[in-house]
Amino acid sequence: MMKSINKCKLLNKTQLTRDVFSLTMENKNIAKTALPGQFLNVKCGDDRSIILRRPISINDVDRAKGTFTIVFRVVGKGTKILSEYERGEHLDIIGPLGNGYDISSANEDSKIAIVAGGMGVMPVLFLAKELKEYDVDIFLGYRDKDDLMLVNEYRKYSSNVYVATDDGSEGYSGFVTDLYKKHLNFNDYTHVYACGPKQMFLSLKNVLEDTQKNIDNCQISLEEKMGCGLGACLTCSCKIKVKNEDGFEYMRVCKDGPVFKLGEVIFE
Amino acid sequence: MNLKVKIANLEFKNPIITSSGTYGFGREYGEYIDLNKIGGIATKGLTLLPRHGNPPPRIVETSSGILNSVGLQNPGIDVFLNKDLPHLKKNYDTAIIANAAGSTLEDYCGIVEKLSNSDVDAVELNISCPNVKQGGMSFGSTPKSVAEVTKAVRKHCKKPLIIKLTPNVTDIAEIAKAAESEGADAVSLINTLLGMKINIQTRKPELKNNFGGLSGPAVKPVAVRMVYQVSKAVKVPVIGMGGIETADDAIEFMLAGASIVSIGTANFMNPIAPIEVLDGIEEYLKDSKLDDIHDIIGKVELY
Repeated sequence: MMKSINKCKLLNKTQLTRDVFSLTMENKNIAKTALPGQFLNVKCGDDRSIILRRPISINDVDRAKGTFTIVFRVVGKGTKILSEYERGEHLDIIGPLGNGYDISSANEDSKIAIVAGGMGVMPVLFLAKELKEYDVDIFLGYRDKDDLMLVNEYRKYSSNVYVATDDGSEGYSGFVTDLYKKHLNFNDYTHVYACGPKQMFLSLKNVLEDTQKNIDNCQISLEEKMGCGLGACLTCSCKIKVKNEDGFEYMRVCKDGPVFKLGEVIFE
Repeated sequence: MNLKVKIANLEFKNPIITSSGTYGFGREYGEYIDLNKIGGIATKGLTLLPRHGNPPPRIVETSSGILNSVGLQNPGIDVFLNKDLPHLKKNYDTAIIANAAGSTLEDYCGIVEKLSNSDVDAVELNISCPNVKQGGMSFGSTPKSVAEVTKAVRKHCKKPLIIKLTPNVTDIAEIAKAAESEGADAVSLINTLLGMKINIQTRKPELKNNFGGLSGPAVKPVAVRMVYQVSKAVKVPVIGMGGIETADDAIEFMLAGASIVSIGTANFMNPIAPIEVLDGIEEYLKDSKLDDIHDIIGKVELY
């Protein structure tokens, strides 16, 4: 059975902050098969000088309605065009791609933490939705209160949503990993799912090591500049610890990831 | 309608292949198109020993192109022969062109020897690699070193031998003639153009390797010109590549002198590109009331 490129009708567009947009689209294949942590490779308009698709994480899925949502920040040419699509237009999308978060061992007895910072706040909403029946604490970090987005969406899936802002203009003043660290004083999380910038992962690693928590329980979603997005071209490589002569191998963020165990990633 | 073309005694069912480095070993794209429909695939560049490749970032978009600095990450020839080649041969009826690279003449001979004794249909030599014994200049940069490496591997190669030319040279026709003179059965061009992109905020290059290879539509005019010059200089078939996205692009290359065209970067945006190019070429021949692909190969008329 051949995979095909998905044609997705834009149903709704919302601007969440000064440069963040949310697009909800219709496509049965994506809505039916997508897993939290997976991404889509999106064609941005018909400008032929744009050679690459833009990889964007899936923010939400409504399996019953056959719809899905992507949330992204406008950072350049491609995402600018993406933000200009209008309702009724169709987008050309490859996916779902990537391995997604492994939630197979999560259950009613688990104590789960979702730690998300900056742009990492966008993809883990889908994860929060899939885990809503379980005991989940959600930690969201933003630059400042103007950067806040999706908080109310998260509150639909957990009654324990904690917000941190770098400048203290909303919620806890400081990094989301510091806020998470405070909660480690009285919580033993069996599963930690994180998404955010490299710096956040390094802080998270330090926090877990300092508090002697099991680093293997923590899954993170990596980002890297991509080419094909399918695993063929080897441009989106990340260094992963393996038992071989060199102690590492370059793996593909688009195919072997984007989710890896925190302990196996070698950050440069 | 005849779309078959030949390199030595290897017949391609049609003139469409996919470019080394963009396609892995066909597994991923094989889920999106029927690889049996295209003439062949050129594998990821192989080396005797596995290679990690360069640290990321390895790719950046430029206007109408991309710069890449993957650095020949590959599992090594043995894994290819034991795992990837059998998978390809078992599942697909299309020409498998093994792309081979090395740092020394001994490396090249060693890997070509192994490939020659295998089930691959042809060997494509990547001579854009820096020659470690000659101060890092690539084997492909002078007619003399091209002749040297072609002569050395020819002895070990029972399969059709294709030399892949780098465009980062002064006279591509002389380079092609050197390859032909030492027994190349075909030449393929162009490989990537050496390029650089600087981030003005960080004041650092976008690629961790600082420099990378440019591919995509931006290079097409250079590639078409080089295919033309080479096809006038040699008698062996020419495989043309460099920014082909559509059938129109492919036809340009064929008129310039390419017998086979290869699609690489275009696959990233459009996995169906090879099929669309094939269908478009067929349509062009039909509309022109031609029934053989050879009716357009090399048929450009200069002023």
